[in-house]
Order: sequence, then C-alpha cells, then structure tokens
Amino acid sequence: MKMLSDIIKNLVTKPSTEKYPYTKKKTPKGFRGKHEYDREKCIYCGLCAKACPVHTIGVIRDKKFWQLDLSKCIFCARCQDVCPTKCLQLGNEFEIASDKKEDFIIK
Amino acid sequence: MNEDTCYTLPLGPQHPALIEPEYLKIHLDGETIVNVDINLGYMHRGIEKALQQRTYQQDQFLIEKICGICSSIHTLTYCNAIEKLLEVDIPERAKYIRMIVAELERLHSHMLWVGIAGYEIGFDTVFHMSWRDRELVMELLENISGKRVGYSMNTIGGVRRDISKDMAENIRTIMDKIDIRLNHYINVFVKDSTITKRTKNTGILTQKDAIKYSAVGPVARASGISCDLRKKAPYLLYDNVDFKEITHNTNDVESRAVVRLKELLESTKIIRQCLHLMQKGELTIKIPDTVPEGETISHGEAPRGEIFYYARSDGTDKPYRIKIRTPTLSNIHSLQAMLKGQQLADLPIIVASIDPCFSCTDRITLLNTRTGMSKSVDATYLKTLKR
Repeated sequence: MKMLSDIIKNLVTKPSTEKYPYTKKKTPKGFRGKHEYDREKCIYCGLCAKACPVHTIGVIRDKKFWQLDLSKCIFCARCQDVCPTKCLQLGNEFEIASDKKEDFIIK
Repeated sequence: MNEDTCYTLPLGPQHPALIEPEYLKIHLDGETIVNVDINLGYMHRGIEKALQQRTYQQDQFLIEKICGICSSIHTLTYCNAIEKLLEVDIPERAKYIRMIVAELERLHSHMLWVGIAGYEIGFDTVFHMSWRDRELVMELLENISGKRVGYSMNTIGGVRRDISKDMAENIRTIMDKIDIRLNHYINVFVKDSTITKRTKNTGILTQKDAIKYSAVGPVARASGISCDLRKKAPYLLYDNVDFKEITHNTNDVESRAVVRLKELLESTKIIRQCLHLMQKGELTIKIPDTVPEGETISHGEAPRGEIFYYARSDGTDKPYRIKIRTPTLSNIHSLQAMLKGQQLADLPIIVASIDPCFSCTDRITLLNTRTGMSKSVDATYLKTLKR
C-alpha cells in the first residue's frame, strides 16, 4: 500500500487540474499560437511563403497580397524566424476553433 | 491441447490496451494463451514517400509528426544523418540543447508509460499521479520550445531556440522535484503488493528470446542485455557526460518498469550535467539547401529503443530515399515469446509493457492493386524474395 500516502495527501491538497474555460493558464514566453500580422510593416518579400513547410502562406508582391490559412498551419514558427521586418509574430492566442472557414484566414 | 476448449480470439484493431490500432489474433486454450499472430499495418501513412517529395528543410517538420511522443529523437536522428551527408559539425551548445530536449522527452515518455502500466492493471491512482508529475516536464518543454507536443527544436545545422539562464535554473528545480517522485515510484513498483501481484513473473522474456526476437531498448535491458546506444555508440556529446546504463535481469513486466524508472534518474543526471557543461556560443551554422550526393545511416536511443535512419541524397534539395526503422518494429515480435502460456487477463499489461507505438511502426504493407488486397510482410514472404 505504498500509494496510500499519496491518496491521503490528495485529500488535503487542492486539485492539480484547472477548470479550463473559467480559468485560463498564462501561456509561456515564446509560445507558438495564432499569428499576429502587421500589414504596415510587411514588405511582401515572400520569404515566409518559401519557408513554410505546408505551403499555407500565399504572397503576391505586385498586388500587395498576403494571406495565411490557419487550418493548414502546423505552428512551426519558421515564417517568424525568416521574416526580415518582424511583421509576423506567433502570438499567445490558442483558442482558434471555429465553424466558419473565413475565421481561419489571416489577411 | 483440448480441441473443445481451444479457440481463436481476434483482438483489435481497436483494442483494450492502447488507443492505437493493431490486430492481435490470439489462440487460446481456455484462458491460457497458446499462440499469438501479430498483424500490423493499420497506421500506414506513406510518410517515407512523402519525405521524398519535400525539401530537406520541410522534411524535418513532417518527420516530427511520425510520433507524437518521441518527436524530438526522430528529428535529432534525421538531422544527424543529414549533417553527416553535409559533413558539418554543429556548435557544442546546440549539441547540449539537443541532449537536454531528448532526455526531457525520455522523462515524459517513460512517465506516461508508468501511468499506462498502472491503468492497464486497474490501478488508476498510479495513472493519475504519474501523469500529474509528468505535467511538470510537459510545462518545461512548453517553456523551452513553445509547444507541448512537437517541439521543433532541432534543425539541420543546430537548434532553433536557446535555453536561458532563468530557464536552466527552472529546469534544475524541476529535476529535483522529479527525482523525489521517481524514487517514490520505484518504491511503489517494487514493493506495492497491488502492483507486484500483477507484474512479477508475467510476460517473461528470457535473455535468449530477447536476442532471438531482436528486442531493443528498455525491453532488452530488462532481460539483462546491455544495448544502450548512448553508451555503445555515443552520438552528440553523450561520451562527455557521466551516467550508468541500467539493466535488470528478472525478465518480467516489473523488470521493464524498474529499468524505465531507474533510467529516468540517469536522465535527470544527464540534464544537470548538460546544463553545467553548456558554454555560451552559437546555436546554428549556416547550411546549404542542396545536399551532396551520398548515403549514410544514423541512429539514436529513443525512449523505446534504437531508432534508425538511412538517408540517400542525389545532389538535389530533396532526399532520394529516407528509410526509418523505429524501436517498436523490433520489439513487437518479442510479444510472441512474452505472451505464450500467460493468462488472457494479463494481455493488456504485457502488450503495454513493450511501450508500443504503432504510428511509428507501420511502414511495410503490400497492396495488390488488381485485387485491392493488402497483406503484411512476414518471414515466409521474405524467404520467397531471397534468390
């Protein structure tokens, strides 16, 4: 009965689980969540599109078009690493489930 | 054998031991297992072909998806192979960071296993407690890499993120906490009668059988075979750090549990040494997109055993061939020796005791395009191929 001490200890300590939707855990520094894109800073160089392993970023330089599809994204943060102007950062948002396709597109 | 009491029980592809699918055909005499047929192939995803269609840089993220639990060792071994082809040496700091992440991964993988083992024998307290402690390691990995699963730390030519001083201090305090818990679990698995009654003398794999069925990793070490690649063929800087190779010779499920848990105490030792030895320096070196023509092999000690990569380049930016052999493919055959003569009720814990990972394993399935029939490769088929 070696686990008995654990069981008794658990009776007096507070639960280790969190009541998730009501209390949210703080994400750590450098967390790889939903992208934060700054259109003003972007120079449409297309390096992020080239680096993306799942080809989810589309860039057309002449038309100043930049688009990312979150539903395909694997959050590897390579786009963030190669961005020369740091206009693309992976933020702290992780609740990105949606029933609309448009919600997954970042422009 | 009495013919009236003999029957065959199909177990799986959805089965009680693990959430991953595989099919075991069990021949029973009453409740006793007489023989077992292992059928793999339900998780085949065609990853090796997909690797050939992507560049080396993109491959490292696909390789990470082969296994959710041991994703870091897969990329580590892949990167080692490609670095061998490129004939480059990565910075020392990067090597230490790779080792730290690999050992943290071993910690969380084995602690997950301890929980699964408790769950399979119907002792859910062990399951909940060990997964609570595992959470400390998972949070640590999230702090280091930014994700709980799929750390994306290794890249060809180094690592992608640094471990800061505060982080190193954080790792040290958590390792101290983990050590206390691990010693407690070793005590539990050796002395608690609720557990030992299920684990002692079940799933015996003798040393002779372990060699015969070519078992690797903790399964082989629990049968008294010393086969730790970190000692036998040191990669990265494993020869710089001091640790013991754990072997045990009671050959049963308990032995496998003890080997795994004691191994973790060595892992925390390695992590502390790495943090101490780590000097300031570069994290990555610049590497070209194309890889010169050639072929190479690379292996590493994954939490479940030896992992093997073969890489061949034809001088372009995409690999010509990458062959992967994961530890479960070597270990799964030893189930035949372990299960013979055992009770059916002990099957889940014995199957779980090799810590199988089927999404890693399934790679060989033959598909007849005319009839649509698929079949797994067995020894007789391989013999027909022999000329």
